[in-house]
Amino acid sequence: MNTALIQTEGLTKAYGRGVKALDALTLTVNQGEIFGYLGPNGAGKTTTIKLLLDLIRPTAGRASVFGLDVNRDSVAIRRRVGFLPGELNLWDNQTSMQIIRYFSKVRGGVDLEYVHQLAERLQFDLNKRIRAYSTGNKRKIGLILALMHKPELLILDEPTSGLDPLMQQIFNQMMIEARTAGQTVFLSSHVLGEVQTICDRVAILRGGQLQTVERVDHLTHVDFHWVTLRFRDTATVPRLTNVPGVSEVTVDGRTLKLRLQGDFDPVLRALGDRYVEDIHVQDPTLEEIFLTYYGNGANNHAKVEMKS
Amino acid sequence: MNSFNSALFNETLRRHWRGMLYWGVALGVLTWMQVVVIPDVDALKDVANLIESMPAIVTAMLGTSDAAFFGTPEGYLASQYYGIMMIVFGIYAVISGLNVTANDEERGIMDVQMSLPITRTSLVLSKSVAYGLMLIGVIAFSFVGLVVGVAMTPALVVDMGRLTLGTLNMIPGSLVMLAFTVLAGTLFRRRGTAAGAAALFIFGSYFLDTLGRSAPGSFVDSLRAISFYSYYDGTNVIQNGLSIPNIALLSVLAVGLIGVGMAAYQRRDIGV
Repeated sequence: MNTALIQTEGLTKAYGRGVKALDALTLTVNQGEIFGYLGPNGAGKTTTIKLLLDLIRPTAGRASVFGLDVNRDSVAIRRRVGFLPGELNLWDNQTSMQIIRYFSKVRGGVDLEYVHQLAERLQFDLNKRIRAYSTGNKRKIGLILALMHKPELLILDEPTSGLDPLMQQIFNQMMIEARTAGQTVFLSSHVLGEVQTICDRVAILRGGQLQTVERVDHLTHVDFHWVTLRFRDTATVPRLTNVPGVSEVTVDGRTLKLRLQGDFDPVLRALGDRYVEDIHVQDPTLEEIFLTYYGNGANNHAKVEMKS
Repeated sequence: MNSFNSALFNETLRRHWRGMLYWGVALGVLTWMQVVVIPDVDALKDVANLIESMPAIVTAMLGTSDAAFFGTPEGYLASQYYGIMMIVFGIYAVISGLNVTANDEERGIMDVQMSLPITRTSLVLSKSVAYGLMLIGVIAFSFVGLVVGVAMTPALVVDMGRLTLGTLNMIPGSLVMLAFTVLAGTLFRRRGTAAGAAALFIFGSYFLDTLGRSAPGSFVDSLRAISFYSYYDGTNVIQNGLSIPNIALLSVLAVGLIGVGMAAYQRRDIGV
């Protein structure tokens, strides 16, 4: 049986002139899962996180973490939470180690040996001043600060932003290990690939409103690709409109662009013996996945648009 | 004091004690220079004669309406040290007060800091107490400069007891300036707005007091009651000793401003 760790009910945050950054969010995150919180910039992801941490107060609705009210019991909650903000700023004239010691004292002490293990794993130098770090390294100190007290819940806002691909892999591994250790991860992102790799479930937020909560395998089932093919001769460019899974075909000189849902095989077979100079496959944006998942009449019918 | 967080307090001291030291030494040297440049008591009397010929507003701005008193060593110090240095301590108080919340909010650091298990009230209280102590430290350094300067200037025969009381009298007023800045920082998200409000409060109080003193019995004089400067009244302390009611009032005001700041910060959204 799932135990709810984060629960929101009609959680709403409106700013001046009634603009709703978050609109009646009702959401449950279960203990021990990696929960992806997806949405384009401005969707309300960070607003939700700020509300959970009691940095801002809701206009309506309520939220609880560990069964505790986020406003009334915020200190008790934050004792058990590790947080990485989307845009991490720290005191430029302090070294990472000084900040870690400060946070450790406020938290009542942490295992410094574990801090060094984290730093080693992230290939991070703890002795530099914050101003000397690159964007990626600032992310690393943020991760260390979030993880160092082994919190029950990790709230991470765009955690891999600025990390190189190798570090992203290490981060993914760390999150999977956290889940194995019984920790819960609430991870906001606008990068689908990141969420696909590690999350169990995802929520999609758009314009401050929750659109859906799905298991990742269900969401990615509707995955598709943008495929661009460049042929040697203009005359040999096929239309491919009748190929299964193909839609939104555009021809521009020797280049053919199409939207492919499903396997590549039907397209490759339809090309026959045409000479293809280049193939480029692009993942859909989150917005496109979202539109596909929720249906868009225009996408359901293959059509060809000729540019030249 | 269950809102007091010793880790926050210690961290604030750790980060800023050097700054306090630099300010303290610099102001100590400045104070020392103010004293040792006095050639002799006769020169002070010449200055007193000059002041006597000045308009009331100018003498009020110099911190005295009594030219004869200004011609004494204590009078000179009341004007030059206890008048002017109060403004300088005010600058330090504003810089410190902005550090309590406004600077961290402006730099976007507050979200990480407030993700720690601390309450907003403990943040405001613990840091305010630390900065208050450092402000007292700066005043103490400056007083050392005064004492050394007096010791090195034989022409100045002054009552050190009165100077000590005059220095102690600066502490509540300085804390009021710090506390008001803290309050402004908790009310406004923008550092510039908070600093502007604090500057308006300090200089507004100063000029209200000065104008009121220069026009006794006028409407402006009646408004002096709302200026904290009128309760500070450094010159009067040098002449007549400490005014316990004034010290109590300023101390209560400082504590009250911090209290209101804690409540205000508890209510609003944190700018991150």
